[in-house]
Amino acid sequence: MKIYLLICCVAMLGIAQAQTTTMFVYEGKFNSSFGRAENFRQFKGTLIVSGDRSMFTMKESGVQLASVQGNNIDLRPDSMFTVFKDVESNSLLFEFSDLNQRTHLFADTLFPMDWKTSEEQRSIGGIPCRKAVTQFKGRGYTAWYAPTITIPDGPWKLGGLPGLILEAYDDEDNWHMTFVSKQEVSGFDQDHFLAVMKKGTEGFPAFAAQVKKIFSRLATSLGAQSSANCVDCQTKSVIKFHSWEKID
Amino acid sequence: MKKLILSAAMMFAAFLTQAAVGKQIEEVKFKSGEEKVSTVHWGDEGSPEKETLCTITMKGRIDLGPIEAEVSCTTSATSCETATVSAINCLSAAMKTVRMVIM
Repeated sequence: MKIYLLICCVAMLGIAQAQTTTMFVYEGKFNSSFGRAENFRQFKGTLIVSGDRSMFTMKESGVQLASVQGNNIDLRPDSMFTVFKDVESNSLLFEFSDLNQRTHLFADTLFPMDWKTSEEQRSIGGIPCRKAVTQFKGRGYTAWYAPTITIPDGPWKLGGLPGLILEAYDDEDNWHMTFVSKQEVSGFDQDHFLAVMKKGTEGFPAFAAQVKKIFSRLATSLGAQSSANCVDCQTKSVIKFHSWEKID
Repeated sequence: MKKLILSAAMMFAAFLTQAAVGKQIEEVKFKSGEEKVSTVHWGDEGSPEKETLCTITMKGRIDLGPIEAEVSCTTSATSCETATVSAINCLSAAMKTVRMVIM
């Protein structure tokens, strides 16, 4: 009986070890006008890794501005670039917040990036890292990954390298995340993501279609409004939308 | 004889220098005059067919995070003041419409 109890304890300890959840904390910035103007804000990113599953999200860490300022309407969700990954089932879910600030989850390919690794090395937080570059959804990205941390994950949708990405940024440096610390946490709520995965959700083309539909609706509304408030004037209103990930 | 040649050479050199300075001044005058002419021509109120319009563009943003919509109103009018007022009114109406669509 004692032997059975001992075996059970060892097995439970093993399971507990296997389910260790680590939160990797990043700090960085994001320019929401990505290149057309400077609208940089500071963000704190967290990548919570539990076994084969992880969740990344970014929250603004600087001064919170009013949601409507002059001619700007700020509809950004509290958490941005939220991504849930499950390596075991080769799945990735990402969150999109619409004009009504309702969040939707869409599926995307897990780690489709074709990384080009180089011999270049540097240390981030005392951890030796190697450089890799890739093109993904219309942008060039650089990642510094730690071969000593054998987690093939990283901030946002990035990953698939032989080590955890500790720093990542795009070619124009509009989005930049750098690892600052890590800590053990009790876990994270996966139920919502797992339920969506089980039920099945639409992929990136459906996301692109939804974005186009929203802005087509806005364009139609603007086109219908009267612009002639001056007899001698020629007035033209135009709406353009820009997406961080390239949408054809 | 040598003194005569030297004096003649110095006078010739002085003449060349004067000529060069004169040419430079003439060029500056010419350029300045050309600019003046073009300026007068630009604002010539006596040529209604060449009437210039003032164009003003006002922009607004709808920020969804990784997606941004940019609303712009471009107005052309004979006076910049009129164009500005009209562009502001246009953008104000456009943003109001956007808010109505959102709500």
